[in-house]
Amino acid sequence: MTDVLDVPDLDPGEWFGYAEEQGWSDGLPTVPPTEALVDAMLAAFPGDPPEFAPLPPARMIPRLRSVAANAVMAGCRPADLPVVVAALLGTTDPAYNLHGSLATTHPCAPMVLVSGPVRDQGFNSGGNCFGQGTRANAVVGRALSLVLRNVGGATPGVMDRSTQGSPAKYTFCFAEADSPFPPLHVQRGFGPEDSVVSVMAAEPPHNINDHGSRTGEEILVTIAGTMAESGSNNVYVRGPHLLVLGPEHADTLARDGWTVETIRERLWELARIPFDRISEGNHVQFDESGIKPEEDGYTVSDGLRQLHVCVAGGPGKHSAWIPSFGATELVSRVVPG
Amino acid sequence: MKIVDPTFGLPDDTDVTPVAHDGIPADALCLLSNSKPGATELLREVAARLEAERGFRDIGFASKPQAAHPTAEETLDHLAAQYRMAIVAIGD
Repeated sequence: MTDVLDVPDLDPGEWFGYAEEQGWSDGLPTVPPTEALVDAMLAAFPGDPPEFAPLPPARMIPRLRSVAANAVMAGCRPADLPVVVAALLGTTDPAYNLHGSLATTHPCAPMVLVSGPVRDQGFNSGGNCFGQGTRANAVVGRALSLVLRNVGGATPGVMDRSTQGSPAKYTFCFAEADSPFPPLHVQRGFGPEDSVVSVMAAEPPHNINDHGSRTGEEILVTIAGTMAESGSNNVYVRGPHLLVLGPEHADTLARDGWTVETIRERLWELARIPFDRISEGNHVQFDESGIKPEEDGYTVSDGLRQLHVCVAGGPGKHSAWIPSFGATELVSRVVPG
Repeated sequence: MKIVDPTFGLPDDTDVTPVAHDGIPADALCLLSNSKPGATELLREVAARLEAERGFRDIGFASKPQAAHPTAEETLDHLAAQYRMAIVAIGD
């Protein structure tokens, strides 16, 4: 069984169309995964090839070479492959629920959060970290999505049944910034010297604009208001969600003595969806799902441990809340190297 | 030019429970609901039509615990062992 295909010699424009016709593209141009480019990427991979689990929905088991081929197509540099591999291994952890997250009508995408020294490979943890303009962020998230599509068979409209999808399905990768708080991977038991990626089936970031607040407590009131969203999966499916504090909000919170733990506790107290903002039909559905309102409304998830906290972004008074698919977990994996 | 196949993968060789028997129409068909609102009602209506118009009998039924969660392996194994066909509610 060979994994080498003999295709016509094509110029870049012709290749773009050819890859699209073959069903290998996410709609954007790709780099042809020639044997030379794939071999160069594999030559830089540290250690032995990892064992991959079957990728749903097709239940095909990728080889490192096919992962590298998709990484080449996405525009990855050889140094990016271990980050892509760590992210892929994270998504195949049963707790991540890859099959459900790929086949669902929900718009979730595989979010990749990069922590530790590997961030110095050009990952953006600063201004516009969720946006365009940084190759490492763009190509690592895109490579993961291409593997899930091309090997796993998560083809939009066929096995990917998302009602609307989201721009995050093209790519959703960012790095966390240094901050007054412990980095996420250290909070989760890794060492500061470890390079780690954390993945979660997530919605795109929801902005939290707060220019007016002057204290940490006030900022938490605004954050809690944004989190108390009646149309989120987290309300009745529960599961994890991620608060990405902008550095200015983080500095104000740290100045006022807040820690990750006390931020979680306070947001758990404050984030309530008022009873009258839930429709009658949803009251019934939530009840059937075992979700009961508290005295002052519905909670955002099923406990403060479901809220993860990190810092990223540049100057400005914005933070972001990232709800999840619900039936998923934030999964962290060490980057090979 | 030669490229590495970006779709290349090895099939999962996990054993699949074989289909139990060929008997139709009794015990031939089951329904599997994804637990989305309305899914069970739609499946029940389809089943009623198949019983009335095609002679199916003893149509089985199972559902996921919640729409976002996968169907339990035991449930799938049980259905595969008991029935020849399944109608599955997907999407909304």
